[in-house]
Amino acid sequence: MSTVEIIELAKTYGQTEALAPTSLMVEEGEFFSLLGPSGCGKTTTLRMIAGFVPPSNGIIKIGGTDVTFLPPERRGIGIVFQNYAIFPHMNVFDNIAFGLQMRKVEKSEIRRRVAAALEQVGLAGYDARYQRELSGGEQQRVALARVLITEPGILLLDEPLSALDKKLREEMKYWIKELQSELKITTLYVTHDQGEALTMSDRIAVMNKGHVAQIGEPNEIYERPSSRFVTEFIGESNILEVSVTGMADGICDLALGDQKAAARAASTLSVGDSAALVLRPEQVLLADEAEAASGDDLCRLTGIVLDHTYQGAFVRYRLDVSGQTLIAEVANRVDRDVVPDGATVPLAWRAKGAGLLAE
Amino acid sequence: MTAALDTQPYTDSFGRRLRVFLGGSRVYWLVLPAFAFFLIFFVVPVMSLFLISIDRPVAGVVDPQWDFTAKNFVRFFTRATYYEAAIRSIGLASLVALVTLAIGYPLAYMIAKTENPGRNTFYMILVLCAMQLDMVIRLYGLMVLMGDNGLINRSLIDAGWISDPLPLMYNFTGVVVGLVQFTLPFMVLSLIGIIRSIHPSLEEAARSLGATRNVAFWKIIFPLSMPGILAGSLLVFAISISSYVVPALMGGWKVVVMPIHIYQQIAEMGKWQFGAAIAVVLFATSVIAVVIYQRYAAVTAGGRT
Repeated sequence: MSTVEIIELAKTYGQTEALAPTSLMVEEGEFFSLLGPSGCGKTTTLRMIAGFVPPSNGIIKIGGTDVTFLPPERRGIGIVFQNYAIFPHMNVFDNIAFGLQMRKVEKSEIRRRVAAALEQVGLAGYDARYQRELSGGEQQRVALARVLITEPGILLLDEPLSALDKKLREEMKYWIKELQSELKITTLYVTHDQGEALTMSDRIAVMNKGHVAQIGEPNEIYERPSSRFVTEFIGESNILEVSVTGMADGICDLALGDQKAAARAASTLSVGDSAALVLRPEQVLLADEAEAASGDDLCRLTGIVLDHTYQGAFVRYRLDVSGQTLIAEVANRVDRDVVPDGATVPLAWRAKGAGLLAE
Repeated sequence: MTAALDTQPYTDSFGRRLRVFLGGSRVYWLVLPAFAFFLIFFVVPVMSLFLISIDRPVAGVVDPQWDFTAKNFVRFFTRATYYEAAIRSIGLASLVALVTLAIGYPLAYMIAKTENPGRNTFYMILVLCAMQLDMVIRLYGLMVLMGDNGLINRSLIDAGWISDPLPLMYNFTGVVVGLVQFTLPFMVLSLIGIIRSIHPSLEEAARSLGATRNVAFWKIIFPLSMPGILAGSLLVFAISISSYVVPALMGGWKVVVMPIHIYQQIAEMGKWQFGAAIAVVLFATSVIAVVIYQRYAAVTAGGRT
């Protein structure tokens, strides 16, 4: 198990900057995700760490050793690709044995370890199958077994779930996470799917246009996004125009049109500034629930229901609050009536549950 | 699928059965012109050639006499000059296929791996360019280069490295060079597509698992290009074994291969029946080569089809 450290790592293709100089450190045994839209530089970063793409600048260290100029085969990495890259001309046994054969491990030992690896990924008895006889999920397991058998210092996963259907994706998500925490292997996971990143990661680096926008634990990223990009990329958010009217005890008093609101203070703001209020739809309390809530950080407003949609587990309302649209998602309970369209309703949220971004 | 086809009643119309035969396409009639052309201008003449190959040999007579005999084939396999020509033909075509593969693979690999679209097009044009000129013209070009008074021999003699011209033409070497020159684009084109279709992540996976660039090539890329290698060498083999113009011009009728015999028997001696028999042997050789290759391809392709 190793750490991964990149220092001022950068990549430019001609005029295009695929990755701006970036430094980050992945701790031993950590599950670290690079999350971002396509073209954000996450895959380039992974490929530079793997040794497939030479960096334009910077240093890559794996387990404290500078590997910047080492070829991929000498970096002690394991990588699982989006398409799994199962060798189509070899059967499952030969695929998994490949890494050990490269290391000149004895034949009987290879047989023993491949059997153990197949057992570990739940594919015992699949030895003689070929890639075309495997489902997506099985190929994924073979790809993982093939990598893990070589006991790599770090595991690199390049969008490994994106080719699977939704149900299998959910299943594999937990399975991979379980396997990872069991083996305590340092893992770098590249994805554009925020759900995967939030569920699996110890920490996430959200990337945009070749820059790291924010690094933090999943709850930090979700609850306290540091920029408009992260706010909009992770989950759904209301972003409302407000102006700062007062600040006390880490809470900002705000004016939202002609109503008063509140949110967590942001150090970069001062009284009189205009700002963007960030509020997750599930943080909004509506109608009875808003009236019943109490607490000194609660801010109460009123809004008019524009329309609502039934989503099963919750009801989603579109509200007009002093001329701005606010989305609220209210958990669907048997004793809770749907607020009719056009009704004026009290609403509330806790200042701790809302963030501010400087405009 | 097969079960479903088996249940088709035999009372099906011809059109319906043809449709099933052609893969169940509803627009099967679109292939009919090509089918008819192929039938009239390829199958019928070849069949009639095969027919007269087992006909009684009479010089100057083309029409079938319906007097069947194995005489022509017996003659072919009992006279050294003929069966040696067959062996020579096979050897020549195999050698050409091998040489073309050896020099064509690196070229195809480089073109396949070129990502810059402009440069890629340029390489492709260079390859295709070689196919644009008429073969006879290209072979005369080769003669200018390789003849006793050609560029190569003249410069070597002028440089004082040799005193007598090297025998580059009107021999086996000349024919091999001519055929390699002619067939190289076919080999390269067969290989480019296959090499390009090998996903780069396969090589990268091998590298990450501890294979050096070299090992990754021989363990992954090369075996996976086998279908292209087989298709390319088969194509080159078939072109080479049936080539008449190249052995005639570059070999100066001294490298006697099967097509030369066919030409001589038919055009010079009027022995149509015997010429046809040689043609049948030539055709059979090619078909056998295809079958052997197919068998071999199935093995190397590992479970792929």
